[in-house]
Amino acid sequence: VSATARRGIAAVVALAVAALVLAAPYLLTSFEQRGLLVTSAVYGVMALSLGFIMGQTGQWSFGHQAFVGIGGYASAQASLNLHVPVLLAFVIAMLVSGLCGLVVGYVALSRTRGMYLAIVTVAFGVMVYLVALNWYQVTGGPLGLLDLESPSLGPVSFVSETSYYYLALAILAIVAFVLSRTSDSRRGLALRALRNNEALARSVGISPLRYYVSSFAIGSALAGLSGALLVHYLSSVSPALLSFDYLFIMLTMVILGGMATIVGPIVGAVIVVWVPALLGVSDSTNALIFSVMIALVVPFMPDGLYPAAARLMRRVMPGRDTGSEARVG
Amino acid sequence: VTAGLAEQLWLGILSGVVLSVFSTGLVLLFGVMRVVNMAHGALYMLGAMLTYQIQKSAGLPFGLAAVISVVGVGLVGVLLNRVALQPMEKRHATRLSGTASAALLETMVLSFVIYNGAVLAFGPETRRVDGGVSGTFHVLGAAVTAQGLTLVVVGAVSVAALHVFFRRSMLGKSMRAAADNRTGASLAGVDIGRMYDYAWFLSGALAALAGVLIAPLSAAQPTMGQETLITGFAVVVAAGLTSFSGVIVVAMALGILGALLAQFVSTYYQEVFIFGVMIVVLLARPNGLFGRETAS
Repeated sequence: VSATARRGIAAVVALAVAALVLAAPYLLTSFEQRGLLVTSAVYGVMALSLGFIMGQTGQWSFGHQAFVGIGGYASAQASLNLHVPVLLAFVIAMLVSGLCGLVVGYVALSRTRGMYLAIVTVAFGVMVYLVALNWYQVTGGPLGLLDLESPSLGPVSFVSETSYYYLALAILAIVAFVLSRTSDSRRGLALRALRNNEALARSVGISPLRYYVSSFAIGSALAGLSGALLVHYLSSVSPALLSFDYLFIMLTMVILGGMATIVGPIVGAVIVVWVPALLGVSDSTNALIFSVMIALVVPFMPDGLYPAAARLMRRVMPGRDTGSEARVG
Repeated sequence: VTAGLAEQLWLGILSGVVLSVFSTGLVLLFGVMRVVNMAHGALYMLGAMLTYQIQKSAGLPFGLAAVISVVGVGLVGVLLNRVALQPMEKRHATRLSGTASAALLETMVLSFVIYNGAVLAFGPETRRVDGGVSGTFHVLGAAVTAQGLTLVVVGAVSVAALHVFFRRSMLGKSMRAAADNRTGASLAGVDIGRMYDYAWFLSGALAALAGVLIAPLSAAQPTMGQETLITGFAVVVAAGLTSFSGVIVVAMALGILGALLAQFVSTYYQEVFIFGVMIVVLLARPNGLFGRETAS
């Protein structure tokens, strides 16, 4: 198959996927299915935020749920008590989570890598969880904050499942586009150099701290955005958002899909949301299935399902160009 | 106040001993394999839950159920090593990004497997565990239970026995050799792969023992162990990752400090405080309070 034909097939597939995604609420019309559509779009943003940090820096952050939760609480507080419009509260959530990410990332990454970073981030995650559980005045304690408003833009109010789906989808598309732009930039090249060999990259003047911390902060800001999106959809926020369950969900999406790509984490989000719904198994069975799957993926398919599938496609349809796999960083 | 103080001191000693046993397992595995085991808390939970389950379904006395459970969880550790971590070591050996980093992620993921499996197998409820020892003494106004005394004795003897094992026995020395210099030990005829199995067995057994010891005093449930894991990290990090005796000192200090904090400051923020201290120690002295070498 010639390169042109391959590009043509890829374009047709991409268009078909885009059409399906846009038409989805009219193909899947039940309340539950539309709810799952919203969840997959929101989880897509969440997965991208963690995939961005892990893919760009090659470091594991095991406290990422904290930034999701901080964004959720920040947005809830901004709209409940400061009466800020919800879409603006989303921006506030990004800023608050991003700032927390900047501080935590700077403090942790300036001193630690690898396992120390993992320990610090785990501890940070549990600390934030405990604070949310006990700081009644701000977080509402174990019950959390209820009756959150839906976002609205001018006359449009994103109350229905379908409208919220398009809102979340638009945000997901913007996030994916912006992140994909970073891969070819100077920043993307610097990070790729750092990931491959930190010592060598340092020797040619690339400062790891600056790039790692900024990746950490950007990923945290996006985590905050996804948290805000989620809580205003559920119209409540509770410490459950800060529990290890969400870390598990995010790691599953990122590991399954493939962390170093844009498409991978989104594919992971779709799998995590839709496979259990299609199988119809209980939550605990489902959690076990996914945990066994990622336990097999980490040692045996470390790049994740999407890059593996993309490689398979290239083998089936060999062409001369190999640049179709969008890499982050 | 004195009675309260004595009571809290006693409770602090109890959690200090449990923490010593737990953290010794953590530092043992790190020392031999350079693996930070994020699934250590899950093995601790498994120790407590299995003991309850064996006691309940087979009708065995607590002590016997505990021994079976501790050995069983040790074998689970060996299984994790053989099935998940060794294949990965071979696969990632040529990569610059490193085995340690992949192993870290894999142990985190394995902890999810164990926790999710336990919830599915046992159900999420909290269980009261009967330790089979009863009686209470009053010492300086503190209620010292026979159960608690058993905990302290068993915990202390186990850690001391381990210490002797590593100092005196041939196997213990071989393991230390494998930890210090893999190539050298290998040349001297030490089977590194087997040493890794032993390290996982001992480490898993220690995690389980800590869970078994605490179960009759608090309870057993399939979600326990996550906070213990972080406190364990706090101990190991403060002690400098490789120092056995440092681990005991820090674990006892942290246990007692935690109990006093709970009594005189705030129960809610006790753990927040401990984790905060750990992060500060880690950032200020990356090699720990007792650490000698650079471990990165």
